[in-house]
Amino acid sequence: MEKTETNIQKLQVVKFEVNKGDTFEFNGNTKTEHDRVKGIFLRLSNPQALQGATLRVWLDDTEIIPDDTEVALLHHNDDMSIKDVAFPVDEKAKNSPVRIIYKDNSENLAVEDSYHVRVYLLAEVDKK
Amino acid sequence: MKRYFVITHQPKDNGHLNVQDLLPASCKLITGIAVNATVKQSGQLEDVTENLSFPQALISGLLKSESITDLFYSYLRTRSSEAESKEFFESDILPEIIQVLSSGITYSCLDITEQQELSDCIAELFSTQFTDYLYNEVEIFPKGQYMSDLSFADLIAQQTLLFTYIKREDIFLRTKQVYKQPESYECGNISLLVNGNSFLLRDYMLTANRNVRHMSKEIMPFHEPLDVNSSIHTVFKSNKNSDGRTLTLRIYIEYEHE
Repeated sequence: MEKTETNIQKLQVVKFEVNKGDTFEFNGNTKTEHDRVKGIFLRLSNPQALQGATLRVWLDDTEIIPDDTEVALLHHNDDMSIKDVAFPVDEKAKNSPVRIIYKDNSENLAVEDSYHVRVYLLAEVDKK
Repeated sequence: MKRYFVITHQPKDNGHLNVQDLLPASCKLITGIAVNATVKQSGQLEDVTENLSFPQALISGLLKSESITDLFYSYLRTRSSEAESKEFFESDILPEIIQVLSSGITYSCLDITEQQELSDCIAELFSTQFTDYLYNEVEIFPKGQYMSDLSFADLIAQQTLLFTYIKREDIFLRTKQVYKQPESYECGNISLLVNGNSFLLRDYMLTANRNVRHMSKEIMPFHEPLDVNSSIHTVFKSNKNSDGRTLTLRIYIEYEHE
């Protein structure tokens, strides 16, 4: 626990736009200078789209969030601190692949409406 | 390391459910469970009036623009009678104030028609009420006679801002349509059994469409060691409140993974 506190915390943001009813697949990599990914959370630009949206996430080729997980469970509410809200994971960063499949299935949006999703990866850099 | 597994079921026609699912082979210890139910239904639209933020800095800025400040010179306050001053104000100064404010106050969130409505609303308000306000409530004519040009110009600018602020709830608003969040309701009881004998949940009341909180707050902690290839049995007793809408049950299983 003590070790965690001495490490430097960093944030990586993945941003993409989702249209109503669409499935969006993001493929990218974690930053090379980050050593480990310690948490993940996300925010939607339109929280009305939370109802019915699901996602699936892989980090370093490990499925950390299984298919059909509701986005609402990982969404950052305004009344929670980042520490509390980050979904705890512990995977290698260092340019490892990130894959996110985001499915919108919301009824509560206007047709052809779209919104932005920001996925935050809470990373750590080891102190040398 | 914690891992998660999701089981999704959609009971048809408001019916009951009695199914068995195999847990992942690596799942040897269940550490928590969360259950959530959602009903997909068309959202209803409702009109909501939303206040726009009051553009105080913008109005102060506009009032400092040259086209306005040049108008507030002493001519207005040195007229021999109040009626004459008022007439001059209405014919020369007021149209300029209206023009600057209605064309200067723009919101990027409004479309062209909404913006036009806002400008019209500002013009309408100022042309009908502002003169009366200045001359009757602020009593600008008697006050102005003992003021310097500069402080007189300042007074009019301040009163313009104040007048706009008092009337902000009539002007700075927009009507928009938002979708209503479906009402939450109790949809039935759920029981979860491991390997057909050990209860994880027993007749747990499920509420559909409730506001789901973050995963860490949703998980109910358990400590349930398992054999390899264990299965989980889901028994859902619907209370027939769903009226034919499709219910989606999601069971999240948190387990320890080496």
